[in-house]
Amino acid sequence: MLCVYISYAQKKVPQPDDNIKKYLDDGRLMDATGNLKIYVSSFAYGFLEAGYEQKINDKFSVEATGALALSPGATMFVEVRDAEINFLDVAPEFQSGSGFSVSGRAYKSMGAITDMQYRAFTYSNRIRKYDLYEKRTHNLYLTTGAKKLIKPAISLEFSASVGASLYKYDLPNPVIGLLYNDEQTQRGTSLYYAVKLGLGYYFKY
Amino acid sequence: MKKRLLLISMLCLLISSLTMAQRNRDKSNVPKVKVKETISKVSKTVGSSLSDVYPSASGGYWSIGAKYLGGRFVLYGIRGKSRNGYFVQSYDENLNLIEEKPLSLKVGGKFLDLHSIKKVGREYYIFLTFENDVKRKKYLFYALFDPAELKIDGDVFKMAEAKLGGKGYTYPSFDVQESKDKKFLVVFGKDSKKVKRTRFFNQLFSRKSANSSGIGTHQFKFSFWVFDNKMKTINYQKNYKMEIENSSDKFYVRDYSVDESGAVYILGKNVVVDNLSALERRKKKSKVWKEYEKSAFVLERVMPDGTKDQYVTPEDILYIDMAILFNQGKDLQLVGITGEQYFNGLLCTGVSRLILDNELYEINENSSKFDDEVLENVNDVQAYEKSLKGRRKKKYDKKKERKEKRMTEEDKKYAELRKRAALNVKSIEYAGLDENGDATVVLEEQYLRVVTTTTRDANGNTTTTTTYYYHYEDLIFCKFIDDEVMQNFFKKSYVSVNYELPKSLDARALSEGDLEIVTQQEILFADEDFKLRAAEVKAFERKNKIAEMGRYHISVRKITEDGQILLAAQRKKKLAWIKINPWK
Repeated sequence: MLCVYISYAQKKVPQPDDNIKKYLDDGRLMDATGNLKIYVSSFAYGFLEAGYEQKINDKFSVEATGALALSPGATMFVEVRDAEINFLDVAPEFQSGSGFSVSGRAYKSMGAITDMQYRAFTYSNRIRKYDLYEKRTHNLYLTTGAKKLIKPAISLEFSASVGASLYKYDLPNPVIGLLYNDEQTQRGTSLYYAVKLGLGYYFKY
Repeated sequence: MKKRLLLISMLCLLISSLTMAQRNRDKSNVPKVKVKETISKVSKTVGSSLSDVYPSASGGYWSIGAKYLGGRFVLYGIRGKSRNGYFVQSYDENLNLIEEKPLSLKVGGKFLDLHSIKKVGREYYIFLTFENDVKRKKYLFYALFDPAELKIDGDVFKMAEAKLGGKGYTYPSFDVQESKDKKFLVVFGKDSKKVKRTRFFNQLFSRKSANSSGIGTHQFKFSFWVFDNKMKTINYQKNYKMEIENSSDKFYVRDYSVDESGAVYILGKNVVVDNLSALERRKKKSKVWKEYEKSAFVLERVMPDGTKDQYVTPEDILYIDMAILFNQGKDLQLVGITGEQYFNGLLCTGVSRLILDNELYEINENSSKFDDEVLENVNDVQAYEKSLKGRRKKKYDKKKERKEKRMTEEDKKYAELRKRAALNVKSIEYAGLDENGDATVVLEEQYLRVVTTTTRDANGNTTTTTTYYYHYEDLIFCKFIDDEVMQNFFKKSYVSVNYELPKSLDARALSEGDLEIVTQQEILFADEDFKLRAAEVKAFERKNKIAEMGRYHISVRKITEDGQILLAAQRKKKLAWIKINPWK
């Protein structure tokens, strides 16, 4: 019996297995089609920004975000941005704000939308309302970023952007004497740059 | 007068340049032969990082190229893995590109990595790997590859696995080898192993222990799977380790192979070194702190039914490297390079062949030191002394004499050894058998030179640059015919800057005992009497240009089964194949 068992044990060798899904299952959703995300770094600018990214194919995806301004933002970020409005002697009081963005993304490593590096071209719009004026910005920028799955369906995303910003100040209640000129609208262009950090949740449908 | 002076100086210049050219031409020791070179049309490829080229059933060829897609980044400890995209190219019989297709290695929503491509039986198989971080395993998969359609044909199968460690562990690996008749395939899997950190105190005390025996501390456990040509597993051994009865010796696994009956041969290197204490060294008045007791190889055969046989090489010979050769089921040959102790290492001084019968009993042993003629040309010390003439030679001899007076007996022994060794030969580059069962070995002198330069700019900022020069120099050819060892050499010099060649040369035994070798810049042909001929190849000349491409580098060097030589000339994405026809 022992000999039979030994010979059987010797002959029992693992054969190639075509059910490879169980070997590939590492709990990570690498072929997600949709990605819901929240940009943590936008809080620093005073916005709560959430977005959705849709996979088109292995290389391309589109993303749309919506943002709601909750606060004037951290001074160190906003003061730099609003340096142009320092012509007012009194500090304007923040009231509300909103924004949205649309972007097209290309994943160089054919890993859309889950992993690896990407490049994006984005248009974003931001409105900030203060008691004395309203500021609108139209931003066009290029982004380079990377995504990394930190949990089976949760990713960390970070990116750096550079582009142009077209801004417009509307002064619905011009305070005569506080302005250098008395025009109700001021326009200009400036350099746009930003660093973003986001968390995403993947799903497949 | 001025005209005459100008004429004379021009004439002198011409004569000196002619002599220089002659000298350069005479550097090689073999006659040159003209060969026919055919260049394909220049084409642009996306997957431009080619690794190999394969013949297809239609008479053309196909290849797989990779393109780096990026992904590698490190940000506050978060790492992104790099990824390659793969593309398959098909060519006609003249190697003109017909088409290039992307090869998707995405299976079950996961990206797999390309491991290798092998021909088993009549089919091509593609081998893929995947690392599962959750299961802590690295898997090896296979699939049939259709060269006509340039795609994976059918399902993907899992065939082997290895343990995947995390930080502080070695990387798991697989090696796939086919038998000579392409009927069997063996897969060796090596698990991740914890990297031992040698602490400062351990280092300190290990040196001091006088009687410590420096038995190799690495003992690799590995698993292997043997498959037949229908990809059915016929043998499997998990966590296999080599052991000799009544011995605690440990082994480095140097080579493994599978023969025509599906038996696996594992060649392990067994080095036993005595570490000498400072006291012992003082007593012996020696600079050496290591004494080689043994540098042997152990060959172990594992039959498909699990039975084992073992053969240990003679212990009185210090082997540096060894290769297994199968002689069509008649016998088995082990060819190796032998050495002698030189300070704390070994220097290659000869070659050896052992013939074993089917029971692994030694039936013939043939060892030989390098010939004087070979050493005169290949040994750097002898070659330098030979090159000296006149005053320089006298000056050198005087200096040598003075130096010898100060030398101890040990220094003299090593200086003498340096003159009869192939100083930079550390491994066998090619070993093969011809139709008559005669073994041929090709050795190449290889060494690395690291140059670190520091420059200082006007502001006082210093920049340090380290450059790695990989030298590929003279070749030594040895052929074992019965009890004789024929030897020859070829003088050459090639330096690769900051890039170590994955394969320094390709060689193939042709019919009637002939041998063809493609090195970095030469194509050589050795006939049955071991007389060498070199091909005059324009493709290797630095100044050579291909229209539409300009200057290029040779990325792939391959000898096909019918002896044709294929060279891939590449410049960025541009690719042209150079086909060199046999010259017999």
